[in-house]
Parts: sequence; C-alpha cells; structure tokens
Amino acid sequence: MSALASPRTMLTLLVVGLLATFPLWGSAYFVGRVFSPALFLGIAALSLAFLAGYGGMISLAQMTIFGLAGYGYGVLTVTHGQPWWVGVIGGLAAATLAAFLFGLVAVRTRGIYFLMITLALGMVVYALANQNRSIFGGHTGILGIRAPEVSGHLLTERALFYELCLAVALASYLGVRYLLRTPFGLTLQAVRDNPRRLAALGYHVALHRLAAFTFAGFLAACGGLLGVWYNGAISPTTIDVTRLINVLVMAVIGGLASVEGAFLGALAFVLVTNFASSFTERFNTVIGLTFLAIVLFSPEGLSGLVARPVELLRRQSRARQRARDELDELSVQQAIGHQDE
Amino acid sequence: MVTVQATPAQAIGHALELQGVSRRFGGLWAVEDVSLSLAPGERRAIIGPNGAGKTTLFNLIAGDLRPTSGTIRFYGDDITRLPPHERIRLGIARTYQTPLVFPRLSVLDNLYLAARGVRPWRMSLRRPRASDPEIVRARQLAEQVELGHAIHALAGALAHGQQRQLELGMTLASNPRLLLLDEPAAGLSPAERELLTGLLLGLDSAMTILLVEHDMDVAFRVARQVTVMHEGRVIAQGTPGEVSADEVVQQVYLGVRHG
Repeated sequence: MSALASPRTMLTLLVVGLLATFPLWGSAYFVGRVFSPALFLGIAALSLAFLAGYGGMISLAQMTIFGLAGYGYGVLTVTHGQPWWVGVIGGLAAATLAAFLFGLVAVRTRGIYFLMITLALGMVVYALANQNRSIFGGHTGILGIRAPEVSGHLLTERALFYELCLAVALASYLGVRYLLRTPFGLTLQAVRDNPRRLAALGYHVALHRLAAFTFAGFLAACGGLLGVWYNGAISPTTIDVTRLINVLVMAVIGGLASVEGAFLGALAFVLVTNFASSFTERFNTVIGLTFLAIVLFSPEGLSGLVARPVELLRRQSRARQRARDELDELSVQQAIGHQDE
Repeated sequence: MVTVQATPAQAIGHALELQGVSRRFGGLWAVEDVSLSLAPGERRAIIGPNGAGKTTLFNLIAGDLRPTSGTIRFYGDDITRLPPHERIRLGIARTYQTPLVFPRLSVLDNLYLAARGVRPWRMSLRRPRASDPEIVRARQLAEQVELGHAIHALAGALAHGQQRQLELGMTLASNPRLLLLDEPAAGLSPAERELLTGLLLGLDSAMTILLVEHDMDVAFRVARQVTVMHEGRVIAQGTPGEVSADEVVQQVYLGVRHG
C-alpha cells in the first residue's frame, strides 16, 4: 500500500502543478474558453454528483440554483448598484436559500419522483425568470454584469479568472472529499443505501437529505457566481431545461459516484461542444453519441476509465505480494520438512 | 404501596408482557388473542409452520404494526401505541428476515453509524478519530460478532452469513434490553449457523431475547422456553423437550389431523 500511496501523491501534485501553471504554457483559447468554463461547470456537476452518487438524490435543479446565484449577483450589482461583495454574499445567500426551500419540497420523495420534482421546480423558476421583468429582466435577463475588481485587476482577466476558478474548484473538491468521511457524509451514504434501516437506528433521514441538498446548493451557487462573471450577463437561457439536463450529462459522463469525475465530465462536455460546433451544426448529436458510448462502455464514466489502469496496477502488486507470501510459506514448510527429517 | 402481596414473578416484573393481543388483516386474524410474558434475561423462541402469525406478532412487538386489540407492556410500561423509534429508545431492537445493512459502506462504518445513531451530534462535520468512543465501540462490536478481520470490507461484499453477523452487531450497538431476532438462521450454511448460535449464546445474560426461527436446532439451543403458534394462536408452550413431545405440536408439524 505504502509503495502505491507515494506515486499517487506524486501524481496528485503533478496534476495540481500542471493545472496551476497552465496559463503559463497553455494556449489562451484553452485557458480562457475551455478550462475556465469546464471548472465552473464542473463545480455545478460536482454538486449533482455529490447528491446523486452519495445521497441517492438525482437533482435536476442544480443549474437553476447555479443561475439564481448569478441572478442574485446581477440584481444587486446592476439593478441596485451595490458593490461587488454585496452581490457575492447576496447571490450565494439567495441561491442557498432557494436550495433549502427546494429541498423542503423535494427530500421526502425518492428516485424518479425526486428527479421530477426538482425538474418541476427548475421549470417554475425558468418560467418566472422569463416572464418577470421587474426583477429578473424578463426574456433579456440582466446585461452588463461586471466581475469584481481587485486592486485594479478585473477578476475576468484570462489567467486571473482561470486561477480563481481553479482555486474554487479545488476547494469544492477537497471540501466534498472531506465531508464524505465525516459522520455527516457517512450518514448521507447510509441514506442512499438504506433509509429504512437508518431510521431504525434513530436517525432523522429527511433532515439529513435536506442538509445535503442545501450544501450542494451552496456549491452550485459558487459555480454560478463564476459563471455569471464569465458571461457578463444572465438570462433565462442559462436555466432552461437543456442546461438543467446538460449538467446531468456532465456528471454521468464523468461518473456519477466520483468527485473527480464531475470535472472530467465537464471538461469532456465543453471540449465536445466547442469542437463539434466548429465543424457541424449537429453538435448535440455528437454529445448524445459521446454520452451513449460512455454509458455503454464505461458505466462508471470517464473516472471509471481512468481508474481501470490504476486498479490493474494495484491488483498486480497484490498478486505479487500474494506470490511472495506463498513463497515464504513454502520455504517455511520446507524448513519444517527438513527438521522432520 | 399496593396492599395486596405481590407474587415473586410480579415483584421481579416482566421484561415483555402481551395480553390478549390480536391483529386482523381484513377478514383474517393473523394473530388472535396471544398472551405471553418474558422474564428479564429470558430466551424464548417462537416456532410454528408458515403463516402461523410469527412475523406479524414480531411486528406488533417492534411497533411496525399496531394491534387490533390487546396490550403490550415493556418492563411495566404500556407501549401498545408507541411508534417504532420510541421503542428503540426504550431498548427494544430487532433484526429483519433479510439483513438490512448499508451495502456500499464498510463494516466499520456500518457499526460506527449504528453506535452513533443513539447519541447526539449525528450531523457532526468533524472527522472521526480512531480514539472516538463510537469508533472504539464499533471495533469492539466487530470483534464480538467475529468480523474483526473484515472491518474494511464493504458490507455488500460480505457473505450472507457475515451480513447477518454484521446486522446483529448493529442491533447490539444500542445496548438493547430486549432483542428481537426474526429468523436469524434463515439461508445460512450449517457452518454459518454454528457460528451464529455461538454468538447468540455468548450474549449478555441480562438481555432478553425473543426469536422467531424455523430451524429447530438453533431455536432449541438458544432458547430455554418455546412458544408454538399455529393459525394465529398459541397452541403450546414449554421447554424444548416438552414442546417436541407435545401431541398437538406433532400433529401441526406433521400435518396429521384427527379424523
């Protein structure tokens, strides 16, 4: 195990190092148009993977919450002329509160009903945003949204924005990884596995699901702020049904029960959309085919594909260890045999 | 306070006492006028052919079902109308016919959650340390149900018998005063049965155990008193020897009827 742990740490350091220095050696297009959106969309996908893979709740409302953070920021900074930090706090608070309220409605249902209720909630918010002019700006939405300016630098400057996305994504990733090992996270996985048994042990199942849904909402809201800065505007299109489903596609492509997978899935999605749309108008078909191929050939998604060689290596080293143990045993037996003679 | 002299049995009090308990499903009396009492620390088996009402009786005691009539007392308290989770808090724990464990969590995590369920701060965001009392308790439970070697295995990857052992460990986490075991030996291999019987015999002698069991061998070895049910009623009660010698019981089990 220890022999494998160190290459793993090395690999992690290498990946983080490469990602952090990417603006220095990567192309401007990849830094600005591929990796940055993949990171903030990945955060939204992560919030879904966390709910679906570890809590058994497939939520279609994650992009709605993502969008509401953007609306909150836009309304406060553009419509009401508030400073950026008021927009950040207000946007995060509004979206997290919305997640809490959605959760109140949804957490008592399971499976397909949970999915349908979150979809319905998303559609309600979409219709509201599309028709309400006074707050949401109707069909046009809110334009001219400016990212915060810190010591003379707009946070949307290409390299700066990339590093910001990377920092928030890393924090979300580590936060979720940590959370899953706490009593709260373990309980959540137990909710997924067997809610009846958990209730029989004296746990309040609905409360746990609500807390998890609210936390996931906060994650999606963090991604949503980055998203609205990137786009400089927000409109109902950001939260229409296609977008709600896109994030599910990202999470499934990456591997639903995988924290890393959410980002892999988002990256694959952004790549396919960008490149397929440059040579064909039917890029949705390409995405659909990619999705099909992955679900058919690697049900654990891209993260499953990546994990496979690692698992193979581990199995080999285990087999070697076993062979060594057997050899040891054999020589012990031989030694005993010699004694008998 | 009571002027009437209490008999010794009443002075000790019953751990569990059922008086005229019945449960009807539509026109069918699944359990009909059953009265039985268990002394603290008693090990009692309920046996009977399929459809005798054993599992229904169990659900009535655990609170998963409410009786149509009759009363159920636990150490003197009337628990007839209490919901299941309040009965758990009083110290009644049960296992199910199919083991209910969390398949995608490790053995240790399963036991840890069970140990933690009965304490406050269930939503804690602090990672558990090896020295935490619940982790220590979980390891201890794993040893007790002979899963000490497999604490990091996923519960879903365990053999059926091991899942039963795990479920027993999870049930013991709350230190129950009354343990209800619903067919603990069902589907087990002879070797697994032997191991489970050993575990049950090794439990704290102060714990009252009521088990429903098809397997006579397990039932008669664990229990000193046996209650035989047939078509919702109690038809015989006594030691394993008395019950197996009982004519009515033999007729029920062999399907012989008076002609």
